[in-house]
Amino acid sequence: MKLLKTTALAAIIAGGALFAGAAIAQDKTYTIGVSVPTADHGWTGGIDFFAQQAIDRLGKLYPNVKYVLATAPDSTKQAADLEDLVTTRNIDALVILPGDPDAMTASIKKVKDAGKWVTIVDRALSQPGIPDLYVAGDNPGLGATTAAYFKQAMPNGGNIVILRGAPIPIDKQRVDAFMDGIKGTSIKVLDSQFVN
Amino acid sequence: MTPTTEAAAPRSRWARIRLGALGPLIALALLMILGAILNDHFLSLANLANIVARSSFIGIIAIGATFVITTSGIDLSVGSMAAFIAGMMIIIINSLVPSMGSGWSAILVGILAGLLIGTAAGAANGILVTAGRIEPFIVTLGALGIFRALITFLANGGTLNLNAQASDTYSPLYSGNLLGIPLPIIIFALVAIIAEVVLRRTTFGRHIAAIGSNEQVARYSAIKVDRVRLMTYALQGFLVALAAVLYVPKFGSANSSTAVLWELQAIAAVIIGGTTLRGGFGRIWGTVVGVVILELIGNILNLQSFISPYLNQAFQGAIIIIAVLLQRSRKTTN
Repeated sequence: MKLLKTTALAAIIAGGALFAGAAIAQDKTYTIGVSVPTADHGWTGGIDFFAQQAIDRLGKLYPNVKYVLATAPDSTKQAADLEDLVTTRNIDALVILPGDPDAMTASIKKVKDAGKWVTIVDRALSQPGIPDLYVAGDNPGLGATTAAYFKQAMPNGGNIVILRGAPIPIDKQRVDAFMDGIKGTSIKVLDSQFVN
Repeated sequence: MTPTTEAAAPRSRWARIRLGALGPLIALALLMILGAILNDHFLSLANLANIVARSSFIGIIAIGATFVITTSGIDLSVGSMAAFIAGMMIIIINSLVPSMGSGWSAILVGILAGLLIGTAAGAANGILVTAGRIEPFIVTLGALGIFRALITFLANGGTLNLNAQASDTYSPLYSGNLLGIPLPIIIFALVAIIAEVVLRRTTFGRHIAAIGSNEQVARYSAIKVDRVRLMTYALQGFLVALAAVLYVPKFGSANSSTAVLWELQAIAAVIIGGTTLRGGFGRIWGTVVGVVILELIGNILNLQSFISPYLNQAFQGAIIIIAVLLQRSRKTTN
């Protein structure tokens, strides 16, 4: 989880720095919008905390770049946040962690079509080719490493159950990589359910 | 004695009407002024159009809720019903695309199916309330659970996604405009105007208010109480389906966390607008103002960086309480 929080921090810095680096040459003020889910549990709480920290740090580093942070508990509010960021805060770039990537695809595409630079963190959209930058953890690697551990821990096979995460594409990447990893062994998956 | 009381009565009634009607409007005006002070772009046409367009989901549902609450009923299942209808529409459109193509024909069948499912679901609630003689709170609480479980089941715990080509055809229904006005705003306005006319000018509307204010008297006045109640719940279901018809082109997906807690926002909008929760009086344009006020709070909090965005719901809750307090103090002073 620390890895993912650091990833989010890195995304904000990368997205911000790439954009701010170009901005520092001119004397114009740029605005970067940051849209993240509400802190309803530890992981999202960490995202919000490190996003705020990154904003404070980058704000001092690049004085002509302003940041706007918006948090949303669901996709309806997050889509509303994107509309407001573009219309009233005049952002030039967007860094977003979509709470529900399938529902947010159309809204993020609209921001991209409006000419903004889009960075997506952690959760990929249902259509490819929309973001300018996609920062995520190594999800297939997570699955493969877990499979390697299970092969080592259960050399004679056994029964396992899989408790999946949120029903989003990166969960599928992890589980697919895990299933590939245990293929051919005598580890049997009794059941696999979404529990998030 | 009599001449003086007759002279006094019209003036206090006029004062009562003015305060009652103007409350939500004053709140709306104050919020608009606050927004204009905070940000230059607040009063831009694009921003105002965004606000009204995205209040159309809760707004259309809240107009249906106004009818239900005026009969002193309540419908807690509207959020889950909206998610269920959106899911069914996506399934139906996706299954028709191979045979009918990804043009408007498949989408129109999906829309029609959605409206029918919504009306049927609302009528089911209504039948349980009238013929089953069960409390509306209990019936719709159960329906909330049932619909939420159904959409989770349909999506198999995951997400139902609308076919990409069908989504391209369908999305202009939300993002398109007619004469420069976004389509959701036009549909919302039409629903509000028709609903206001029905509630104020038709016999059906007067029956609704009569049932809400005193059901026994309404029954003795030969009003078909059960039939009118059933129709309000069916109408609520139809309007929930209409909101889902507007929701699918914007978001293109449905899962178990779609439309969560929409029922509370709809009821809050109805209360802020001046409709009393115990029934007997309904104000459609008040509901519209209430929905816009709730959406404005979120928008205004996005205009500035001083107040934490986590406090959005705190402000919404505070406004609801203040609105009810103002209604109550008006009654006690008279």
